[in-house]
Amino acid sequence: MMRPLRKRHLQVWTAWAVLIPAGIVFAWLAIPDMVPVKLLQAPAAGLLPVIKKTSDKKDYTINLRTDPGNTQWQLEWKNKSVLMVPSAVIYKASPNPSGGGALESFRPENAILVGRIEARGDYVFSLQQDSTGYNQLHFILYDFIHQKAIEYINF
Amino acid sequence: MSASYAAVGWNRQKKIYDWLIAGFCTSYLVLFISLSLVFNEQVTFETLLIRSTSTLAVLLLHVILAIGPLCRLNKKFLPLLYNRRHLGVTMFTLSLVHGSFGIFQFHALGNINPILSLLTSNTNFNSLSAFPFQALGFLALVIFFLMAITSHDFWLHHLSPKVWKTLHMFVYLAYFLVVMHVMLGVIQYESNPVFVIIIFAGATTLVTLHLLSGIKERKTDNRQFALQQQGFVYVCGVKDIENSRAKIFCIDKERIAVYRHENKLFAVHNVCKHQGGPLGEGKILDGCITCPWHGYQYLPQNGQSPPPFREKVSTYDVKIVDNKVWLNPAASAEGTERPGAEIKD
Repeated sequence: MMRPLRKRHLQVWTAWAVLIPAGIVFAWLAIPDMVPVKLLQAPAAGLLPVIKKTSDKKDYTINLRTDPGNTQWQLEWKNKSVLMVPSAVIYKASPNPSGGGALESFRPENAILVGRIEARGDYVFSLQQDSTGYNQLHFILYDFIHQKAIEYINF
Repeated sequence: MSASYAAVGWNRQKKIYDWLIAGFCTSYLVLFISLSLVFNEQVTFETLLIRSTSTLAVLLLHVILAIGPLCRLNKKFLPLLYNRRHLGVTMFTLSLVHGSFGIFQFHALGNINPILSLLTSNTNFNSLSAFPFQALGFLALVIFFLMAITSHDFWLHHLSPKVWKTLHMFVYLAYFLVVMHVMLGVIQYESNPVFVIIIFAGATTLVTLHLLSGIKERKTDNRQFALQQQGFVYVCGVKDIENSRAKIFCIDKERIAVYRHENKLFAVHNVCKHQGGPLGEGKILDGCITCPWHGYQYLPQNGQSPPPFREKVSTYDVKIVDNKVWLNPAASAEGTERPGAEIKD
């Protein structure tokens, strides 16, 4: 290797020694708040026994599950048919304002990430304790590739 | 080394190398897909392909980028360098499968051109968590594509080694883009820290290896030679150079390899004409200096490749006084015959 090329290699990797760890750390810090569980998961053996609320849609059914003492909560997502989006995330959000344009105005940074689903399968996610007592819950199915809210699910 | 261009100049070593690559990649893909199906039987075929090829491509990219500095630090790794191009093309092919299926799965169902959709559907450039990470991966794929199609001696000769090397140094930019593609993409939607730890460990390893090898090279470049006599510089003792091997000295910003061959010392420019390999780290095979990178050969007495090859490197005068080796850093024209210095026991 020629001396200038050796020098350029060293310069590039000296820069990368700073930029790559910085990029990793900043990207890591930017991960939205989420429940401390693996997002992609099959239906767990530990499904909570009580179905508190159900929302039945054309392509999927969503159950809000809890235990008899209402101390733990789960969101169960069951795809009935293959979704048009191959992968999407579910956010817990503030109430859906009535009227049109709500989906367009949704901003993920203002919501809590619950989990990620794929086109097929059943999923279950633990929900963090909430001061609202789960009387009113609002979820959003979000296409993170196109950065677009697909649907509001209100309980 | 070949007198004409062929798609691949196959030999036994290349075949073994490629079989090992194919065996490893196949095993990895089978294992990844099997484990994925065990832990998530609902996963689709497209998703399996996207994930298995992407993780394998990232792993191979780390191996590819580690080979260079490993060889600078320890010659035992040189066999890995010999056919690194095939490893690079394999990595590109896997990246292409990942990219193609990703574009198909995420962007082909709309009424917009899938590539246009990839580049324009997300414009959150001011948000880290929602950054358009797919565009980063796409740009890296374009760099890998340019590298893969020029990974042949035909392009090396026609673009010139300098341009070719510069183009292929874009792999470092591509690596940075891949790291950020992963960190701003899938990592943003997975809470398991193991992915971050793996990426961080890989990047740290590569940065450390490259910095260590760079510092080692700089020490060689900065060595000072105090004793000078009539244009000659004292470099080492005769016994410091093993038979059929060389020592490298950097004088006046040029590296020179002093080879010991048939009881004589010969000096040639250290840079191979093929890809800039360090000739002084090779050895004499069949009476020729053989580059450790890809086996290009030169005669020690005149720096010429044996016919029908036409590559030539500069030669230098060397002399021995009282078992001390003296080297004249003034280069003779490429391919100039020099008598060498006879070693008297």
